[in-house]
Amino acid sequence: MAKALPSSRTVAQQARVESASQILKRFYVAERTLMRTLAAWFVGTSQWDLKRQLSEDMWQTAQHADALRTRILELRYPRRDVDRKYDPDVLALLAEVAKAKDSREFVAGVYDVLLPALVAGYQAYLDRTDPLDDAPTVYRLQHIVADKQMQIARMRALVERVYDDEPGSLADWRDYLARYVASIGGLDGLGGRVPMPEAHPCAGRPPYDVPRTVERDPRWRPALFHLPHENKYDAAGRAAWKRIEALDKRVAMQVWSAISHFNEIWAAEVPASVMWDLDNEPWDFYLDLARWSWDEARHSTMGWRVLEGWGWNVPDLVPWANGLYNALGSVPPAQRLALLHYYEEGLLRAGTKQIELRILESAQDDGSSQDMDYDWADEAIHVSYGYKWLKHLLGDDSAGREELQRLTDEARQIMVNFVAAHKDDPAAQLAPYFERLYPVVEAMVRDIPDDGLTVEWAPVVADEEVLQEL
Amino acid sequence: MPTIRLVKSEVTFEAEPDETIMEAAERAGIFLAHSCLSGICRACMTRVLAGSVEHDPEYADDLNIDPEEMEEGYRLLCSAFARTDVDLDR
Repeated sequence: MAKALPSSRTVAQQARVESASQILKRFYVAERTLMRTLAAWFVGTSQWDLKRQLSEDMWQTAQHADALRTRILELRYPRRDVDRKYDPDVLALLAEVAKAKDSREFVAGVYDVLLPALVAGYQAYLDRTDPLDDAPTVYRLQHIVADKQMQIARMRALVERVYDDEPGSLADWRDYLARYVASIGGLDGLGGRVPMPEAHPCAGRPPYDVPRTVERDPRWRPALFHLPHENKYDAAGRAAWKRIEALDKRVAMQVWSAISHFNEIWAAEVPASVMWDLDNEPWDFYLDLARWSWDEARHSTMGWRVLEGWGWNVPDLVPWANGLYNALGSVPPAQRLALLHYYEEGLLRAGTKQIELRILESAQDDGSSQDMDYDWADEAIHVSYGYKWLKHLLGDDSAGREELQRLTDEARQIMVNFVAAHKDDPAAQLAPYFERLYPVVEAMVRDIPDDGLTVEWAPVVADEEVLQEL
Repeated sequence: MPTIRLVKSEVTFEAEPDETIMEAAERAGIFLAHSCLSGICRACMTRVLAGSVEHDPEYADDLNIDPEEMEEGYRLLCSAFARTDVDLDR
């Protein structure tokens, strides 16, 4: 007679390793795709407060996807399949989320429908799984849930602050996506399924694509460039800047640095757009580019924080340019990345960040110095990303290096042509900004005593050929 | 002790056998562009015009420098030791 002791506890269905890895894979696909979607909508969003929050949430989503992917591979999930065989239901849902008609609608779809549905899926998993057997997953999911809940609360508060009222169409969009989530059985796929909302007024929109040109927050006037070294034809802008410089070179450096930092937003938009355009690269490619993009959005925020900290009306006094992104938005993704890498490596090799840091330190501008110190550290990581992934995209051989050189040279020429083509565009003229800025800076420096230090002027070089021609 | 000469800057300094060229420059109060100090950012990549400079063998495989760049005489100063007196293109 065969006998067996009873199980010491009851276990839930779908809590065994194979089921758990399948469910976590579905979550990974959702997070991975959401990360790319947030990246694309970060590019497409002009409202500054929403834009920088989308960037941070994009990077956090990359961390969530990475944590899930790591755990899936610990659960006997085949390595060869972890970045293949994506659940088509989840991909289809995320494709619908991306089809929002504007940033407001996108935010409503993500933060009012998708993320709450993801949290519900994670919570159901946590309720179902064994906290001892599956402890590594529990640890990860608890942190992911805490992040998601914070993201939801933070973005909802932000939307309330930014917008006065809510258009009625948002309710339709939320309703459509909620029905879509229900039609695929929730993010974990375990719920009861309802019919797909194919006849819904929000259904049937065309596929989303990342924008090839961007606009800035409408609180700012349109501007193609942000500092005079970018546009050799803007003699009036250069003269207006030299007046500020004549007040005090080191003060001008502080202002230059903050304006330059704020305008690094284009360097965040380039990797984010590449994340959308290239959909079949190794996972580490997206993880690295998510960090690259978020870092640059942080640097932009650093500049904005300094400018605001001086009590300035930033939209009135500081240009926020879109020329760098718009000139290259339509070129191949590897070429966009190549130009960004060229600039970043050039700045590091020229020691520009170190020189800027020394000048800011000599001004005892502790805030700007610390910002620059962290920026300098971040840029070293970015150069290693560019070095690694451009080799991956173009080839790690002499042909690949030649192609990188060709793409970089061509992109630089495109920039030169863009500057020439827009030389008479009112949005390319910086003098009005610097003429408004002059009395503000002049009033700030009036009562500051001269410390007698001689400061060597060290402009930030975006294109050394343009600079030489000045 | 090897002597390092920065040809363009017309500056010389000495390096201990167990210190990187970047560390030796810093000890001598000489500014050299750098960032990561780990051989990944390429900010300190410099051409060796004369003498022998070796990358730290412990990390040589992790450095972001191409074999062709090595053949052309480039080295990452943050991760390299002078084995003889050296002229650098700086």
